[in-house]
Amino acid sequence: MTATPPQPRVNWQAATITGTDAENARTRTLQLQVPGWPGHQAGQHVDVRLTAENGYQATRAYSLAGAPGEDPALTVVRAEGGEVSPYLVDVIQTGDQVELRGPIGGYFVWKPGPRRRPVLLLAGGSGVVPLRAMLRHRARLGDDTPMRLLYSVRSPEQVIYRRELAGQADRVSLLYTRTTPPGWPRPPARLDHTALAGQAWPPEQAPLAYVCGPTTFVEHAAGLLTDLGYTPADVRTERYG
Amino acid sequence: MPPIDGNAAAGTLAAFFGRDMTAAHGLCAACDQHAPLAEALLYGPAAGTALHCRTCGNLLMTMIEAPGGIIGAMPGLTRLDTRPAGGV
Repeated sequence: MTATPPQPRVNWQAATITGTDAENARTRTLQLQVPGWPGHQAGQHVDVRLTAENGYQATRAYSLAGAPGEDPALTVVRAEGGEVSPYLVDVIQTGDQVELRGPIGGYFVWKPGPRRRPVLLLAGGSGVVPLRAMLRHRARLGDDTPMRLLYSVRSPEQVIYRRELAGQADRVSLLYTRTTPPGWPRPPARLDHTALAGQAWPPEQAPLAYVCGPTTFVEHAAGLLTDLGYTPADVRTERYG
Repeated sequence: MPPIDGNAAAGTLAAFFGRDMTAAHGLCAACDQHAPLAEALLYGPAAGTALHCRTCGNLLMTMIEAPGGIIGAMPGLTRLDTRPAGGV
């Protein structure tokens, strides 16, 4: 028997900013209040639309940062020269409104399955956002699905959710690609076969993988997983521009 | 702007089809690649949405959100399948 997925909400509606949290110098989490929010799945996103005074509109997709059952929240990284993210990171304030459509997406989503297949989360930079929602979902449920996050990031200054992830050292590993914290045991390095093989569930355990980050990271990481013996259909990907 | 992927088109696809389509599988008319629309190449952001086959680059589908509705075309898809895992 197959459950019918909830119908996506496809009409634009006003969302009110109820709070903001600085994650790092170029990243901010916006807490939202959305009338009639139906709840979301871990990994889903929303479209945000801004309208200029002259009527020009710009729309971008942003992953939902919180777990299902939590109020909607977006973590946005400023893209220099961008049309939408600089406004969301630097300008918008509590009480302001944006237009929003969602939650949407049924491919890059995770919920506990009956077989408790182990889950490997691979994040490149801001790609950590939907994967953090999956970690939080598992934790809130008290679910025992084996889950591990490998988070590739350029430097300590660019880590998002630093404190939250530091509290889960048993299932979260950081891989610095350009600069490490002082005394870090590993020199900066790109994700490679050795680093991945040390973290990945063996293919015999029928793992699922979720890979999210810049296109080059996703292609690279998905290729490494295939080399390790992961089934391509069990490697779900989401590419950020 | 580098290509992203079909996940970013989820909103437009849902507005067009009334359901999630990122997990739906499309069959490329040029190379027979059978893959979720989430895996398609998307160049953007732009006024319209164009999805290309990740394997061969063929233009699969276009959508433009216009006042009052959406105008779509699927010149490069011979099949679109919403069964779980595309029926595989």
